[in-house]
Amino acid sequence: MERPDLERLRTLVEGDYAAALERAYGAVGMERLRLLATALEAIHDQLAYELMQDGVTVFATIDPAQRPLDAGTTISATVARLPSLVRGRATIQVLGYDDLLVSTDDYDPFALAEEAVVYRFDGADHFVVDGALHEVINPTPFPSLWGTPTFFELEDALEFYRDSIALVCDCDILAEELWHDSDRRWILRNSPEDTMQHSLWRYLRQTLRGKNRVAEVDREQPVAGLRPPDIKITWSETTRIALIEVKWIGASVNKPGDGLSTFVPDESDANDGAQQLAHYLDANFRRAPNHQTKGYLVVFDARRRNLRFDTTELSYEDAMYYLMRDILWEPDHATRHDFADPLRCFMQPLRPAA
Amino acid sequence: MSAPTWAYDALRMCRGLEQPGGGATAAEVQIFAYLACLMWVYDGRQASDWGYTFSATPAGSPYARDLAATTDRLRARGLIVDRLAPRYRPNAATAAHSANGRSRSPEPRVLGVSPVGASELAALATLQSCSLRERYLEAATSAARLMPLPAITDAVTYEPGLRQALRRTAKTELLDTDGVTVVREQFEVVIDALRTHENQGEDLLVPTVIWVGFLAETAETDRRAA
Repeated sequence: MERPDLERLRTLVEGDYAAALERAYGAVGMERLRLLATALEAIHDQLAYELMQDGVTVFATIDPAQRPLDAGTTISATVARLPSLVRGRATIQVLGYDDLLVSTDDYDPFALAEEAVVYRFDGADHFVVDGALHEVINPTPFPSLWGTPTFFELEDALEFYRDSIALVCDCDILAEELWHDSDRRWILRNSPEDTMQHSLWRYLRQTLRGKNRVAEVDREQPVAGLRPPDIKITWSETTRIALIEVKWIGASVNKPGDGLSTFVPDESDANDGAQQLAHYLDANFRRAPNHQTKGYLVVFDARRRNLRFDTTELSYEDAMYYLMRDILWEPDHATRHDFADPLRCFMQPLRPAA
Repeated sequence: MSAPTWAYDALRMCRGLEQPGGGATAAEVQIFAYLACLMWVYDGRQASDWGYTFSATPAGSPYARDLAATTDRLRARGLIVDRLAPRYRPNAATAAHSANGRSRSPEPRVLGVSPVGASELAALATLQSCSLRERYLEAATSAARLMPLPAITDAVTYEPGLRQALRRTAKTELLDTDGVTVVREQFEVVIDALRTHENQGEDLLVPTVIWVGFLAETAETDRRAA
């Protein structure tokens, strides 16, 4: 284990928004923060990010009786009404968990902060502290800490990852570290598997409820000579274990970075991955028959049709050709009780030409 | 320390995690109780005075047998009730995915507090031995208002004592003299940094979320260094 970086811990204390709010507003401000934060979760549950594209300010006044919004243009609402009221911008006073005053006008958050704990969302989370916007450290791939979806079922989490994260690389790891050409996303960087695994591991750690641990297991002992799958999820007080094997298909750049790698994994490699996982599950069952182990194969699909290293234009049809083309699984291991339907995560190019 | 504090902890954890998170699983109750105990240590108290001990399971999770047994007893008496977990937390961004109707069993369950349990919780809260613990239980559960609940439970598994225990195969006692040394060192840094400011350090929620955030970051840093 690396020795923890205690200087980093000190830096975190200095930059923490909750600490800054306590300094600015004291104990009563912290109580208002608790109320505000609980409402933020409900507000983000209701409002998709596109409904907040021009900025939303949410606040709880230090004096609960204060009403700083113009009563003539403000209505009382529950959280459930927000999607029908908010179109791009809003200012919301939190009176109680499900008791809001809503204005679609844009109020100055700094003026409001003179008598309230003020949160501002403009693509990222901020609190107003000492006349400035204080950004909240957000380690999740989602724009808001309070808008992070959570899942009790691994299958739900994986499907959401496929449709909302991997498809558009809506995650800093995939967006910034995965591609040789991150401005268009046609060619993967050399040996991209670790980056994909990192993205999925971090996502599951932050969104999956009820689990004990989401661990990367590449350093575990092989079972019967077989390399273990990449991610292992355990649940407390049960014998349930999930093993996730990560594979990828598509073109990647070669090591020198001056051409495509000669290794271009395709459907056959994805099928090899499935076979490998099935063999591992068999060996693992013989070794630990009392565990309920289920295998999951996640295939990142970066295939583009008619792509060469020197390609400068790729038609929409070529860029998106594999979006709707599932892998033919032979044999189909998903007929096994311990093998989930493989999950193909197509990653689309950036702004494919129409 | 006796059973009333165990019952108080179980009920208080379930109640505290009903609002953020929609209810806690039994495993999450254990992890948040462990976090509360760690903040008790942060406050300069001895882990041995917490009232029950935690051990690390072979998978690296904290487990308090007394708390688990008490939770089970309260469930049997109907003070703590099982509820179907939300399929996943309703979220505008995820709404489109909720129509995918594959049934998966067994349905996950979360724990909630029944009206009888709420009355019992209120009665227990009047006991000095229980009210002494409120500061720590409140800070632990309120952390789930400021961070995604699964991110907290994940981060806590990177607590130094639990990580150390992962390398062993048998159940290991947590927060003994050795186990608490590294974590105290981290807490001292937080206390020292908060102390430099006036009007700072009273609300235990602040160091709780800072330290949990640090654990989460450590996991990432270690991975990148590996």
